[in-house]
Amino acid sequence: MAGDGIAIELGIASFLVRSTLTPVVRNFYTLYGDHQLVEQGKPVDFHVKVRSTSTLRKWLHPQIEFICDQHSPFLPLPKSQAYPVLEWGMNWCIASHCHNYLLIHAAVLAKDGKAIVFPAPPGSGKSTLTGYLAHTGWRLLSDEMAVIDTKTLQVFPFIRPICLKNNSIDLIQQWFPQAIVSDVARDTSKGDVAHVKPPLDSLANMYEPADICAVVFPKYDAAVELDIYTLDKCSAFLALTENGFNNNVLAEDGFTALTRIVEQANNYELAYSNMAELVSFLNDEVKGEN
Amino acid sequence: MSPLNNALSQLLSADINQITLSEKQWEAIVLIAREAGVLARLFYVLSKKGQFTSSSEYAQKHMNAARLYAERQAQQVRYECLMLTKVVAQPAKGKFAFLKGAAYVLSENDVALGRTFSDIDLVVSKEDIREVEKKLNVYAWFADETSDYDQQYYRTWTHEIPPLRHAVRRTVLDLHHNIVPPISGRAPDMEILWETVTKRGDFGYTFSAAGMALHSLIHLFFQEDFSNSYRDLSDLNMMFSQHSADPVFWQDLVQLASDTDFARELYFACRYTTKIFNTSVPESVFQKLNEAKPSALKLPILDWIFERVLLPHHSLSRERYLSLATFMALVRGHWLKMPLHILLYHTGAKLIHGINFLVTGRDRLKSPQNKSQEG
Repeated sequence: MAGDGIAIELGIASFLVRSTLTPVVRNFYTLYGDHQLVEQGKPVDFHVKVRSTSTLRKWLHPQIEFICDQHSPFLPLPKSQAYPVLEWGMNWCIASHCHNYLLIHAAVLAKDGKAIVFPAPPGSGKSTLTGYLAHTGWRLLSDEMAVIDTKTLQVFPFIRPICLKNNSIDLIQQWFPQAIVSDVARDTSKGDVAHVKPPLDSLANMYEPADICAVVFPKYDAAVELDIYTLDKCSAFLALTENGFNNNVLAEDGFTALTRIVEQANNYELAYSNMAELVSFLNDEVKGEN
Repeated sequence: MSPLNNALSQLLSADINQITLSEKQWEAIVLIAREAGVLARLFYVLSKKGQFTSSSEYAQKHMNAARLYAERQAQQVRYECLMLTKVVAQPAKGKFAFLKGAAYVLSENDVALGRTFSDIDLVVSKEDIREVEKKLNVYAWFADETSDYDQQYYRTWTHEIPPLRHAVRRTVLDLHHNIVPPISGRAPDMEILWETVTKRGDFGYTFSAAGMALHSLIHLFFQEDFSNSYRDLSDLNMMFSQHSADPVFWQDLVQLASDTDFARELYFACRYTTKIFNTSVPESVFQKLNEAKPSALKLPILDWIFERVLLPHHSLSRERYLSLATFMALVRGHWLKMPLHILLYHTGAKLIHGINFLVTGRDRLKSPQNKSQEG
């Protein structure tokens, strides 16, 4: 990944990734080994790299930085976070530049061509749920970002490794011993972080958009098995805008698209600790049986 | 000029020309244009020339995304100007003008197309600046915490106060009382520029088209930082091209430049827009500026510097010896703006402060209770 780097296709955008840092290279190969490469001669959307900062400080307290084309959008971080910074930086590129789509901070999974959007703030158990569904017959479209066409309201895949935090790293490994997991980066701003390689059958459909049938705001709560609240359209709209990355940039188009989404979809808020019951509810939802 | 910088400049120029670029060259153009801050402008210029759809699909996608962002910024700026006008009109006694990016948007001239910016610039007269600042404070525009040294530096030697930020919307406002630091000895009599102000509906005032062009070219050539210079030169290209056949614009501009003693800067603006964007500047303008032209000894050196620093600085299209040229432009700019003893004092104070901070980790220039908000 030194020199010319590796260019991979991620559906809505392609990335040219460069790094000479061993943990970055190793984890990137582990997680993106089955992604398609960009054909020779084709332009690549984002040119990114992770590199050591070159100040005196590197002898005392080694730091790394993420570079998008010519500049770093973030402050340098400790070297232990080199791999997660690449993933977060790639998200930043899309959120800052891809205004051709409406972008919402949400996981997206689909079954039978119907997608459920799971917008949720950090700590809601969204990625654990994503990891679970992606390994139990659901098609992963995205762990972090719902990419929506404002005209057709279809959601496009942006298939990237699933970002697990803290306890969920062990949980996913226990549930799915076949899951391929990156090294664990300790003590990041989000705690311990590891990434899970997206399942192959999801990747095989990386250009297939899906229709949104439901918007579900999940919240892990050890005290309840499964509580389901139907959200009225206004609350669903507000909650969705709070998770929007660029609805402010898209202004009226973004507003209209969000309105149409909550009008057409079923909107729920869920508190859960029983994964099996939750999944059975979601299965019924895509079948239209709720 | 490197081939990619040349291609981008031709795309941005007003002439319709047949440029054939490969997919990979379009990729480079998009990256360079984004870095230089002209990607959204490229959307508009190519659309106007009817050449947008003949660019690659890749470029169209990126130009369109940048255009959407620029469109939103323009809308936000209009809103901020509307709000600011309500706040400052009374303490400024109706004498205020938005500058640069915000002014371009309000003017609805071609230079507004795809122009993005990070702050709003506003000028009021010097005797009113305190009252305007106080009123802005009441309406939630506050200075970020700055050291007492920086406060004093701004207020004693520059033409503006430390930037104000709106507490809720986070918009940054630069409040000026002149367009050039008075310490340079070159600050123009602002009355000359106040003469040109034009009302822009409820959005407040800007200088006339010629006044905006004058400010833009002073801002570009009478300074030391050339990091946004390509975008700024492209602004001048947009203004000059729109008015290329408008004798009144050129007459006003030459007159303003001569009255404010910035004829040489106008000469540079005409020379380098023509060289880089093939801008059509009337021949008569060059004739009128003949006296302002640098000597035959100096001009090749200035050409050498400006034909580097004014072009995009992207690593894909870097001009040869750019670092040296940038350094020379930096020294020249400081030299123009600040008498040597003050430059040395300022650099020294900053250096000692930096060393102190490195060694002790304490910010000694900042007093315990920061008095910066008192204005």
